[in-house]
Amino acid sequence: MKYRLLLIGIFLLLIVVPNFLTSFYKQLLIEILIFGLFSLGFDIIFGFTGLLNFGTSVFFGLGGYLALLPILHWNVGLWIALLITIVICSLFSFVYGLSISRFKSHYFVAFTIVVSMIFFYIAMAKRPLTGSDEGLTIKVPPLDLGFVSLRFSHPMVKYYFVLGVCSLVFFLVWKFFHTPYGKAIIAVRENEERARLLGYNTRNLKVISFTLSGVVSGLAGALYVLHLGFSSAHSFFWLWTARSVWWTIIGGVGTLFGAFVGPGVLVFFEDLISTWNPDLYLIIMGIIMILVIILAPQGIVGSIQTVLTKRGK
Amino acid sequence: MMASTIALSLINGVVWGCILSMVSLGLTLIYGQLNIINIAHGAMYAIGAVVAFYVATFLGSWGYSLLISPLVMAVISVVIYVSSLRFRVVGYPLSVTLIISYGVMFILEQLTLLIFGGAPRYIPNPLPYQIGFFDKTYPVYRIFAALFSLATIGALLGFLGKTKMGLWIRATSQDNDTASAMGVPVPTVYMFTFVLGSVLAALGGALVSPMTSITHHMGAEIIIDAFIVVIVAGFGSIPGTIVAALILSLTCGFFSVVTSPVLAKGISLGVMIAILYWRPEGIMRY
Repeated sequence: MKYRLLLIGIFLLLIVVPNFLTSFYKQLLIEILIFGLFSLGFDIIFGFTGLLNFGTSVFFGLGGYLALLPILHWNVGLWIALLITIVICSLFSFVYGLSISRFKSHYFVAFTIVVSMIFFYIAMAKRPLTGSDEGLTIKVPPLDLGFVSLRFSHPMVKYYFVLGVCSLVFFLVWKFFHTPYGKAIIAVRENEERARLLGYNTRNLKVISFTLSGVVSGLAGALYVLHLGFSSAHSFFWLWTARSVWWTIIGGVGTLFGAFVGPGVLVFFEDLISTWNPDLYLIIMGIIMILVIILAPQGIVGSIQTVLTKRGK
Repeated sequence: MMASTIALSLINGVVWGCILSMVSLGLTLIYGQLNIINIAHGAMYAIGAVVAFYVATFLGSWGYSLLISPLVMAVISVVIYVSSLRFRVVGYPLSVTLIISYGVMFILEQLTLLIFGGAPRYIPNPLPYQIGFFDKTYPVYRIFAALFSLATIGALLGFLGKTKMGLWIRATSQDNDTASAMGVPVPTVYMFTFVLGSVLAALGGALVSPMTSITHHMGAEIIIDAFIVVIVAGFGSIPGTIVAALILSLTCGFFSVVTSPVLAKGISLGVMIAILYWRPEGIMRY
C-alpha cells in the first residue's frame, strides 16, 4: 500500500518537475524514461521469468525501424507508426519466443546474443533499407490528439507523451504480474519443474512473457527513434543489450520500478562523469556492476525494499 | 580466377579457424571447468595484441610477444580471479558470473583504451614472404600462425592428458566434489584453469596482431564467434570446439567472396544457430 502511494507520488512529481527544468535536463529526463521502458522489457524476461535474454537490442532496433520506415516511406501519422510497431513487434517476438522456448540457461544466452548480432550484420549490410551505420533521418509527424495537433519536437509535448506511454505500460505490466497468469510466470522463474508438475503449461507462460518483453522493448526503441528523429544499424548492436542489463541490475532485478531507477541514477551519473573524464565512465560502470552483483544483488530498489520490510517487522 | 579467389578465401578460413579454435579452447576450458561464460575473453585477446604491439615497438622484435603477452595476461587473470570471480564460482546462477565477467570486460577494454589510445595501429609483418598459389600469392606468416595455433592446441592436449595438473583439471570438471574428496586442491585448479584459458586468448591476440589493425575493441567481434563456437561444440568438448571453429570460419570465408564480408558474418552466425537448433546438445559428445 505504502509502495503504491510512493509510486503515485513519483508520478505526480514527474508531471510537475519538468516545468522548472532547463531544456537540457528535459531531454535527459525523456531519455531516462525511454531507457527505463527498455530496461522494463529486460526486467520482464529476466527478473520475472528467469530467462537471461542477452539480445534485447533486437527489439530495440526493430521497434525503432518499424516506427521510422512507415513514417519515411508512407508518411503515416504518429499513432499509426506506433500501432505498426506494437503489432509487428508482438508477432515477431511471439514467433521468436516460440522457436527458442525449448532452450535454457547457456543455450538461451547464446541463441539470443547471436541472433542480435545477425540482425546487426544484416542491418549493416542492407544500406538502402536501414541506412547502415550512417542511419536514416525522419521528420517526426505532429502528435494528433483528435481536437488539436501538437508539434512533437516541442520538449514539453514530447515529455508528456513519453511520460504517458511509459506510465501506461508500467501500470499495465504491474497489473499483469498481479493477475493469476502473471503469478504463474513468476512461479516458472522460481521453479520450472514444480510449476509444470502443478499443471501449468510452462512453455506457453515463457512465450507470453517473452512476447510481452519484446513489445515493451520494441516500444522503447520506437519512442527513442521518435525522440531523436534518427535510427542507425547500431541500435541492433549488443552495447544496447548491455545497457538494458546494467540499468536493470543496478536498479533492482524483478522490481519493475527498478528498471526506471537504474537509468535515472546512471544517466545523471554518466553526465556527471562525462563532463569530468568520459573515458572513465565504463571503468567505473564495470566496477559498480561487479560490486552490486556481489554485495547487493537486489539492486537499489530491492535493497531499499529489504530494509523497509525489516524495519516494518 | 573465381575458383582461385574462392580457394584463397577458404585457405584464409582454415587459418582463421585454427586461431579461433585456440582462442575458443580457452573459453571452453573455463566454461567446462567453472561453468562461466567469460565475456571478458575478447578483451583479453585485445590485450594480447596490444602487448604484442608494445613488444614489437620497444624490443624491436615481435617474436618475444609470444612469450610476454601470455605472461602479462597470466598476471592480469590472477588479479581478476582473486579480486572478483573467486567469490562467485560454484553454485551461483549463470547470470551472476556472466555479469561479473561483463563488468570485467568493460574495465579491461576501457583501461586498454586509456593506455593504448583509440587510433588503430599496425606492426610490420615479421615474416614478409609470399608463396605462389595458382595465379596469386599467399603470405607465409598466416600459414605460420595456423601452424603455431595447431601446435599450441597439441601442447594443451598433451598437458591435459599427461601431467598431474591436467589430470586434476579433467577430474574436477567431471565432478568437483569427488575430486575434492580424493585430495585434489579444487580452488587452485579453478584458478589455474581460468589463467590457462585467459593465456590462450592473449596468445591468440599476439598471433593475430601482425595480420590486422590493433585496436582496444578488436575483441568485440571474436568474443561472439568464440562464444557460439563453444556452445555449438557441446559442453566443454575440445574436438567439438575445433570442428565448430572451422565450420564458422569456412562459411564466413566462402560467403565473403560470394556476398559482402559484413553479410558473410551474419550468414555464418546464422549457420551456427541452425546447427545449435538442430543439435542443442552440441556437435560432439566427448
